[in-house]
Amino acid sequence: MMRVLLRSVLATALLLAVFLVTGGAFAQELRRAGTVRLDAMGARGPLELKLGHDGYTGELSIVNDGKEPLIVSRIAVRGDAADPRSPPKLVARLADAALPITIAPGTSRKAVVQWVPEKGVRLHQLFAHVVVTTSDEQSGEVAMGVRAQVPGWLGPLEGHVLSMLIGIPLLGALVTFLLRALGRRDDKTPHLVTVISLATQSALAMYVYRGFAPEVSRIDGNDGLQFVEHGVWIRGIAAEIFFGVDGTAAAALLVTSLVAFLAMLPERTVQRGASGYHAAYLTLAAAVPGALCAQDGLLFVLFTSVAVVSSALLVGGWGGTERRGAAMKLALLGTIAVLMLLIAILAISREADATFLVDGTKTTTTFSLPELSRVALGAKGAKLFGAALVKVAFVLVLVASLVLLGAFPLHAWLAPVFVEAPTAAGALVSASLPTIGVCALLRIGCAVLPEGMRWASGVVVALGAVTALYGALGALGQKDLRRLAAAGTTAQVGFVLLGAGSLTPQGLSGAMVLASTRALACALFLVLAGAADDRAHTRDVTRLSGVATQMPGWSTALAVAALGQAGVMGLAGAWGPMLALLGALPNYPPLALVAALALVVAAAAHFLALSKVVFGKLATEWSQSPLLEPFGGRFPDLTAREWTSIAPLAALVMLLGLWPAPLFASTTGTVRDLTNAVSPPGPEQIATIEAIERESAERDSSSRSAIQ
Amino acid sequence: MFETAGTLTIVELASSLVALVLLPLLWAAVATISAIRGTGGRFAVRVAIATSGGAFGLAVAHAVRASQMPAGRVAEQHVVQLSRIGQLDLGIDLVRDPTSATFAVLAAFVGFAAVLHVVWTRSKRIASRLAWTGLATSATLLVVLADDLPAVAVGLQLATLAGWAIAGGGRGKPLGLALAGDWAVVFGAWILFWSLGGSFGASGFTPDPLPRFAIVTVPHAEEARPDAKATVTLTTYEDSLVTSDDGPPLPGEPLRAPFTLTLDPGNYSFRIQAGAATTDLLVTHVTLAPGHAYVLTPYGPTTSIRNLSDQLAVPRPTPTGPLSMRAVLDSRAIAGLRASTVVGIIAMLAALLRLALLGRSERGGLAYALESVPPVVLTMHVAPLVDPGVAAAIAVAPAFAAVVLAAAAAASRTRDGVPRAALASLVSLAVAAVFLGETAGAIMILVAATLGCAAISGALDAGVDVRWLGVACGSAAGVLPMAGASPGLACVIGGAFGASATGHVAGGVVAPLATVAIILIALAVFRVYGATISPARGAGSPHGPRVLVIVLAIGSLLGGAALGAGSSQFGGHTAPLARRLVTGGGGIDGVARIAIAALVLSLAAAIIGLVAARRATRTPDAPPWIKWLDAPAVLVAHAVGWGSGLLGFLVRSVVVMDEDVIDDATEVLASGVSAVGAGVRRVDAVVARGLLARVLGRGADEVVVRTGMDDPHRFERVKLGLVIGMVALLGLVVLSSVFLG
Repeated sequence: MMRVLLRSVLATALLLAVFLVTGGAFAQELRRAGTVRLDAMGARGPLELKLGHDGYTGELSIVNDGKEPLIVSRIAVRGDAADPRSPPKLVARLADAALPITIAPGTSRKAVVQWVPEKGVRLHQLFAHVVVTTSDEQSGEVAMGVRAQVPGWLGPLEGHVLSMLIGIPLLGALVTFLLRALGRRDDKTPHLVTVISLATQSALAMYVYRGFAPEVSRIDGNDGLQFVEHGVWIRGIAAEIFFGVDGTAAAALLVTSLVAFLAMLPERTVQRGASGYHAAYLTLAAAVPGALCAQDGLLFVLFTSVAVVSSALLVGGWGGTERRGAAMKLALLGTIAVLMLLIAILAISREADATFLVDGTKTTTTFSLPELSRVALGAKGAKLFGAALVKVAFVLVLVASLVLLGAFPLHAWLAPVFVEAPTAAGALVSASLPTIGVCALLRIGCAVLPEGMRWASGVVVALGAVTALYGALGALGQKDLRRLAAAGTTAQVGFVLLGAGSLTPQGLSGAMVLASTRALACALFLVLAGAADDRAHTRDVTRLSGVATQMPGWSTALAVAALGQAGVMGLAGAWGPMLALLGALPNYPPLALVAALALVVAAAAHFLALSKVVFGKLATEWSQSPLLEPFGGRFPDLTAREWTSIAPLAALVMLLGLWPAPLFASTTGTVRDLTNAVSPPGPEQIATIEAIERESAERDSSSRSAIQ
Repeated sequence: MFETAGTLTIVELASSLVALVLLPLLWAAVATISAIRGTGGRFAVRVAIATSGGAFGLAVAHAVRASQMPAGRVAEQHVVQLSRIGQLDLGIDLVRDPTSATFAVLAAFVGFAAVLHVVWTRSKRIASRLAWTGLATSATLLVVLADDLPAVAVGLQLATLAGWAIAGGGRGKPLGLALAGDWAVVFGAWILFWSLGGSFGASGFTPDPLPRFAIVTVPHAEEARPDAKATVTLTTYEDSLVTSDDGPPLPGEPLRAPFTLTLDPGNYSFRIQAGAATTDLLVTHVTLAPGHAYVLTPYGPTTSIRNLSDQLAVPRPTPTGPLSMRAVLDSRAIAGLRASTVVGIIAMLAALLRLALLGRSERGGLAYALESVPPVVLTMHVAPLVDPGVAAAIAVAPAFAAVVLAAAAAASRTRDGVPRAALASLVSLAVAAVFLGETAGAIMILVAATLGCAAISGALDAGVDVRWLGVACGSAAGVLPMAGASPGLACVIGGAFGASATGHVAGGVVAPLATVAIILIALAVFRVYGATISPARGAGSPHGPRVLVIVLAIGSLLGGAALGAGSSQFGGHTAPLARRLVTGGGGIDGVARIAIAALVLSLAAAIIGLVAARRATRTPDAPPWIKWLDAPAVLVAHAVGWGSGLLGFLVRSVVVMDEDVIDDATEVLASGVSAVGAGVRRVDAVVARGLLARVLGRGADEVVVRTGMDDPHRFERVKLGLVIGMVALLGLVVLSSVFLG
């Protein structure tokens, strides 16, 4: 027995030795051929272009690592007219020779990459690949990542604005912990740190918004993204750090940052564990821009999951009496959403076409969302769980989006969280999670899975109409101000679905605009509900009847918030639903009618709640209430500190109602891209356009011949 | 196929129209701040009087300028470009033409009067009343001046908000109806938008591939240019950039709209870059002849009212020949009806629904009178799109609504609500007049009724000399021949006769309904007069409100007289002012017999109402038949009540669904997770004899003990640990981004 075993081992060793020897010889044989390697100034890549007198230039070396000559037949910038991956005026050529060229073994040749941005260029960054085709058939086409940055106001930090936007709240959280460790356990210090961090973040978000060129789309290069930060993160799994701002994120970044900052201003005291509360708040404030700017699927899932966990932690750790239940609902549904997103992203990335990482490394797997949006998943016939991948993945993304949006029937977390969360946390959660949901639906559902969106557009629109009506009817039955805000949110996110599912540019624009306007109005409403709660320990509108006589400022702001949230025209909340209706009407008129009815009901619900507060009669027992004793038996109106929080939000809701152009403008380029993805011209349209062009050409030629 | 010819509206640029809308907003803002600060409001009062007076003066100045403009021209101010997405060109443009200028004067005057009334009657919460009055005035002026349907919709909803607040809030059902009216306008506007281009097929809507722009030769727009050059003008699509598509570049390209460009004759192609979210628009291979004027004009889906009328006037060039907008609208069917009919019905319904709030309230000083203007303006924008025969049929509904509202006014037990209900009824008649093609009549009714009813309210509030109350009542009810509402009411009946004479049966239905409405309106307002005349009033009434009532009453009388007198339809030879305000003649122009019959019938109806009112007010108690008049309104209220009941049922269902299904489902999900855990434990117990449970249990216990989760203080540390973990994770990403990105 032992002998047999020894013989087997020996035989195996012998076979292994033969394999290694022959394999090694084979490898030697391969190395004898020319082997290409691209080198960026001695580094792996990407190649950083430097500003010189003739634009941005850089040199890359084409190295022949093989033992035979290497023929270089083509050097070009990756992309074509239909899909220009890089901004215009980028050229790559050999430094001192014409193609084709032969590189001797062990030597290299220089290639020059030059970018001369036009005056007044809209894109201030360059992210591209230079591809080199050689006789090295095994390596195939190789690429080198190229990047350049036009200097901005922030100097060397210009290329890392988004990192700062995410990082500054994190830094604030670290400082909070540090101060706690140093013994500063009062409430004021962490509040101050939080406010400073969030003010800085808002300033940066404003910088991004101001610098964002709204008309940029994919046709301009850089995948239509701006303020891009792109690097290889975990090469083994092709995970990249990829942040960028598109039309979905530009205004939403500013709005969520402002809400985070302004909602925190009046909240100076925390019942327990101030440091932890502020750190969790700052973590959420960091996770939201991360998710909004993430252009890598894994990063998006990571930031979304942190946003969900930190939201649940804020509610469960520092909320009201029923906080555990509210946090559990959010955590449970949020976890399901994150898992579904993760499964969808992993499944899609498995089917990715061969591409390059940002530094030029070849990969067959990618999580880059712009890259995944180029994959024709339907044509590949890929399957997941036995059904078409594109359909299953879309359903997963849709369900995740419904949870994050707070849309029917997965809105169970919304009302408990709004009711139980501390005021500032509730406002931030209300602004952030639904906005991330919009991002998931548009960035993954529409851009990466357009075939899925086309397949399910009817369902999405129907869900939108039902959600809108459900939320509106729910609002009509509410007396609690925070529950009214939750129902109003459900009604509004219905229009996000309605607009996105319409597949029209107007509907898509409406969905994007809604992400920002809804967040503003809802956050304002929740802050005001919190102010009422602080004074009267109630949020019941019937008990708050007639308080306008004693709190005219609070009532005026509440009117703005309520009507803005209800979608009353002339205030910010109306434009999104208006456009969503316009988008949905041509293809789904009955559902659009249902949604229009929802708007009427939602408006009536908010008008009637407001009517009680503004025009109702103040209950006499309030004058004897111990709650109002310190204020002489009267409701104190908003304090100066509260006004600093409320006035800017109210002003924005009013201003954007009469002048929504800044919001619309920021979406234009992305709307164009999304429309091209989900709604390409149909065969009839193409035929008609061709007929028109043919006729024009014939007419032109006949007129020319007549002139001759 | 990019060329056509016709009479387009010639546009001149204006600059101060937006001030008309902003001035009332200014006083609203100052009054709001004053209300919030709880100050006495003296500054707000001063600002309100100054700005409302200024707005009125500015409106008059614009009216004078409008009257000096040649026919076919309008002045337009492009206030702001909101968005340009696909085929949607969304902006706010204000327009000054004779009609809008007249309505602006009316609205600004009522706003001014309402401010003075609030101040002189020393109303409670003066600042907030001024604020709402300012918002109502601004919103009405926006509706009147706006050239875009979305801007009209914004104005309508702000007017609803202000009207609701002026009436004291509450009123769920009328409010709901008014809001439904507002959103119906948006819905109708969008139906119209999509009906103007593209096609509805089995696979849904296909955007229109036909050219979106064409070049229109404008005949006799200017004297022929002596230098034999051609001009090309673009006054729409503001801020879009125009370049040459092929051939030599245009001088100074890219040209930013609006512009007028002088070119040598020849062949040209234009590329219009409207924005990133819309494709470039082309007008290719057009020939410009020497000395001619051309306008680049958009076709197809639009929300611009001016562009709608242009598309009505000048057919669209297509490969198969010119195609009129009416033909396009007639070719679209929605639920078996033509698109134009659907839009017309929606506009009519929206106008009537808006009257619910006006007709069912009792408070509001004089500012409520502003609510009369938007419904008429709205229908005036839409009615020209509808086929005349269908329009006459649509007019039956507002005529019936006028009867219901007038009957409710006549049966009213309180006098304060009567002027509002009467005004609502008169506005319904004006809407009917618009659909009958008697737009001039609608303007006459609107001006006289608005001022007359405001005068009645002012007189009732201030208790001024009843003679002026009588004048106001007579003016609003059309009792005085060729003054006040009389010529307008005659136009409604005449228009109905005219429609009937041209074979539209609906005209024969509208005429008696309008006659009954006139009787009931007269009965309603003179019942108030009768009830007021018995107690001696007028002595010692304050000077200011008395002057205001006199001015409003005289304004009502003279407004109707000036707009309607001298009409050719009543035998005169000079066209009345109202006819010059609108394009196109009335239905009964030149048919003197019908005109005289209509005038006699309307006067007779008003006098019957007056006599009935005198009989009804002889005794302190109203006669029994008066109560029956309320029956139609009660029926309508019942119908609304059923709708409201259904809504209540739905609301309760949603609340129950939320509590009993959605919440429970989440809990079931949570218990499902627990059940899975329990299942694993059971399997472990059977298969591995609890090994896993022991290991995991020990592990869990270890975690609980080590982290101290059983200790509340330590639980705080766990929370902190979780936050630190998240911060570290995100920090790692950020650092990676900084160093790798």
